[in-house]
Amino acid sequence: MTIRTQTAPALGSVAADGAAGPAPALHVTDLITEFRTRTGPTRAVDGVSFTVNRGGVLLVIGESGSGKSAMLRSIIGINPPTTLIEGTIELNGRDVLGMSPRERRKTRGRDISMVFQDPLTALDPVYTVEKQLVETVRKHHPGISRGDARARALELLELVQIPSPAARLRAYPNELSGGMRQRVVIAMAIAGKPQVILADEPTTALDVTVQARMIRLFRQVQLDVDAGLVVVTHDLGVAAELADEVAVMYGGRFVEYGSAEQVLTRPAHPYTEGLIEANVRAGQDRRPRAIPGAPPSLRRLPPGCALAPRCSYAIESCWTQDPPIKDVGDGHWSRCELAVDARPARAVSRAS
Amino acid sequence: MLRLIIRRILMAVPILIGVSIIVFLLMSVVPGDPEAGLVPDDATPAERQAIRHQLGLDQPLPIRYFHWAVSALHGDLGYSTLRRREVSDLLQQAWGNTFVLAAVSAIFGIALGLLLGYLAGTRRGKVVDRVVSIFSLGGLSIPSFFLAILLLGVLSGQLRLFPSGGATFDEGWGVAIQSLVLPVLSGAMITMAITARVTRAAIVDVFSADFVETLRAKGLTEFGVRMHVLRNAISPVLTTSGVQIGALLGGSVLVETIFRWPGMGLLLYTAISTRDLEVVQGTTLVIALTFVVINLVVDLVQAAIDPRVRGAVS
Repeated sequence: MTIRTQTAPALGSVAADGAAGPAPALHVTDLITEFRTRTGPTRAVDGVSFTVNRGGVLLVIGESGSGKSAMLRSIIGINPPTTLIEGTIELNGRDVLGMSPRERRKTRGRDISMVFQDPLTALDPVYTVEKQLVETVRKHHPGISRGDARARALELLELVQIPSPAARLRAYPNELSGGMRQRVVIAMAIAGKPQVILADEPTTALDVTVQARMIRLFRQVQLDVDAGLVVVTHDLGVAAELADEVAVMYGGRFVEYGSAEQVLTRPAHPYTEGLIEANVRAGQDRRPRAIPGAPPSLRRLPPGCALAPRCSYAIESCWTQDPPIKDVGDGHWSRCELAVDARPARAVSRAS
Repeated sequence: MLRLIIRRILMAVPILIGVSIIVFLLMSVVPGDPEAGLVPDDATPAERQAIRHQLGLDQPLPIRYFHWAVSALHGDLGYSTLRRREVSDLLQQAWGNTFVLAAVSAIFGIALGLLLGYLAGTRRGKVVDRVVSIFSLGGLSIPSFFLAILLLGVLSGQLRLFPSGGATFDEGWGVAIQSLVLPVLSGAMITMAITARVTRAAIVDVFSADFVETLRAKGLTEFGVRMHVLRNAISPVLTTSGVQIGALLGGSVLVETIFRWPGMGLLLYTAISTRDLEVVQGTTLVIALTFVVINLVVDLVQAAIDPRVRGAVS
């Protein structure tokens, strides 16, 4: 297993014995992200912990507004300066939250990089692809000659399988298709050979026909540079294809965690179940079922389980008590009172 | 790019023809006979007719326009009987004076506006931003003639720091520079205010663009990020600067009249009040031409720096 978790004290044992071997590429403990807003603090991320090793893929799924993007931005450090961030974030064993802003900045691109959701707007429109790539290469290889940097830029475009890369180098972003631009963004993300790549909905803005190819490319490129990958998405198709491990995020917390196989075929949290049922798949004769209601406002989370108002299984204690973490076995856990055995009926009826 | 330049220049031609027709027609429909000033009051209808014939005024309008346009193309804009000078001579001199005033005002106003806008835009919500906002809103709200009269009254009238009237470089550099100060201040104020506001807005706008996050995520310094932002923000600033330079070069009638700066604005003002039709025609035409050329230059510069604009026009 490439990814371990030590989210809750109850499950601390899962990661506690992993002391031997090299430090994990990314190790996050009890991450809290709070935005200061005029109407008071908004807690977008509420105590998230996970570990990603080189070569491993963690997928975080959840609706819009569940705190996924805020989590990624906190990890790479590009949230607005007024954001409150607590917990620890270790890159290769180095605590980045304790670094000076300058040291922290130097980790960006070199130790950790990020691919954004919308490739159409992620590139500077007034510079050529070459200028933007060369700028990135030179940033991470100080002293490299202009010619070498250009050669490296070309090589990067080849790595992300852009057809006729030499011509694309001279192009402006508006002259490239969405898929092509996303490839450029990925090329930029791997220019500094980072140990960790974060991706915020990397396929959402793309054509459906391009999505699958992009995911495979992503996987391959990640293995090429031997980086750990954290992908945030609400597309379960992506999850199934790409992930080693899946975390389900709701209301700023991980509510379920396990291997892709465990979480996607035997969901142990009502919310995960809802996400799977809301998903449309070709060749399937059931209608997608939406999860009723909307995600909670992160400004004032309701007491008890954040999902309780939308959950058809909710029992009385869900409204009053924080849901406990239930171990489902083999590293699979769920933040739900009813995770294990109280609720088998629905899963069975769906299979038949 | 070359094709774009040629296209743009060709597009300017019909605009100029249109402008010249309007200028010509405007003067033909103005009440009063153009020859009135040339003939004695007691002239007989036959004498009047002779003069009209001599001036070509008895010809149909299109032919008169054609003659006027052809001579204008040859640089002959007619003769001001009132001033006893060729209109083109008058314009040449006035244009030179206006150019000096406009150039100094534009450089001063745009440079300061850019600086203020940059400071405000990169320090959004901070004290600098508020001060610049108030200052530029003030500068925008004060009409230039009011500011001119204010400056004239205080700095020239009360404190006697600067001369009130325009002196040109024919009268020596020292005097000329001194008498430039007040007109430049009144003319540059609006340019500065507009430039500052547009620069600030553009910078704030670009900072919220997604690619700024990409730049940060790849480890650029804040300075590096700002350079990208500035390069993106320059386009709207350039557009307004073009309009401003055009307005300044067209000669500010109010500012030039108040400070008696012998430029296009003052020339136009005097010509209108003395019904010097040839001069009004010529001045209006040159002002329009200036605007067209400035806009052409701005468009081309914009296409040179922004690939999206280039794609849209060509």
